[in-house]
Amino acid sequence: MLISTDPQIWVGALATIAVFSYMYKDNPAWRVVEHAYVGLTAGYTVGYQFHTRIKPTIMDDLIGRGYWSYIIPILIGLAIYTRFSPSLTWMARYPLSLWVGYGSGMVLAFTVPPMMGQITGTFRLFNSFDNILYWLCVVTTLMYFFFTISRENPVVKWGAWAGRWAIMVCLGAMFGNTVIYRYNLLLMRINYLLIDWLEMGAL
Amino acid sequence: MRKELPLLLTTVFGLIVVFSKWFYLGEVWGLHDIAESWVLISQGFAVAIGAASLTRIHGRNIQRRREDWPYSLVLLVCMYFYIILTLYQTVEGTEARWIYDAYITPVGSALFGTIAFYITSAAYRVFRVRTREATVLMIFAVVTMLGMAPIGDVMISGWGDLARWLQDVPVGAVTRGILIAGYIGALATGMRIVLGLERAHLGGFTGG
Repeated sequence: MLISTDPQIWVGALATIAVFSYMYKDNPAWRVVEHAYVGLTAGYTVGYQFHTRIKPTIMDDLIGRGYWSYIIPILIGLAIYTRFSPSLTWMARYPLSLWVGYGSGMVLAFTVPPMMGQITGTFRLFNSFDNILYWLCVVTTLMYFFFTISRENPVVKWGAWAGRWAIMVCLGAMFGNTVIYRYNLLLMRINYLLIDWLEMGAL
Repeated sequence: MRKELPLLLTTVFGLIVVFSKWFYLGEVWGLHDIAESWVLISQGFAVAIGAASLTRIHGRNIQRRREDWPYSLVLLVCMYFYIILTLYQTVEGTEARWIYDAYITPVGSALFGTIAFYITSAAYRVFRVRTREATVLMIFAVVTMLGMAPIGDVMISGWGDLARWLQDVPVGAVTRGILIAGYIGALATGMRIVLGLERAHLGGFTGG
């Protein structure tokens, strides 16, 4: 039997087997791979952010262009680390406030156009069974989420009931899609082990 | 001041973005660009919070020789090794890239792949519940799965077309309904935050 001589493939294959071993039961190989993965991913994030955000801000913007006002967001960002000091932890509210405020503003400013697009896209010509069913599904789904109108109203009551079943159909299909996607990933890993590592395709 | 000023900051930044989008002057003054650069810079400098938290938690595990402390040591050694490596040669450096391709990518895919088994056992448990809703959910899950795999069309001709129709019409419509409901919910929450009625992001801290 042929087997790969590439150390990169070996590392990936052994780590993949260690991950799959967890399906049998928790074991030291899995724990080592899991902790190393978390550590390396955290390290990657720091390294990536340093070279894409921190370094350009300090070297290019602050020192290069003299944008000294950027010291304020830098200090606000650094304030998040005060979470570790019980007496200064209130300062960590500043960066969170900045991000949450900006995010909320983005939602308020940019949500309306796509929402209107979704609403107008619902109103199709009632010239086919598909179009009528489509419209009914959207409206009944929205009725299911109506909590401000009394469910004693027969239109809302039966609409919400139909919406509930429509949502079940949708969730079932979404679940099926998710299962297929996960199995696809699993098959890719098995493919990696059999073809790339054990080189079974070369037989 | 410990709560009022952050609350004001939330409102001001929320309004800046809205003003920049909906008013001509906001666009001319470039307020959104300034706000965006502030957010990006502050987030960039805050990114090591994850590494700092991991150091704190796992450092304590090692210091106090808690159960499974050697795994904490593995985590910290890997993290600091990779931080030093990527700071020295960037994430696109030869060795950093080698580790990424050899370890991070395959392990990430394998972790997601293992979810396939858990999702299957979850499906079995749903099926055992035997409510009408669970039955409908499972029937349409099976229809979709067989439709997405070549075996569906081999078993019954046109099964793939049925699955595609399901995706295009009822699933597409319900997704749109959920999306519209989500947009309305997001707008209401955004409004509450900017008006200072929602303050959950200011909570959870002691000392103030």
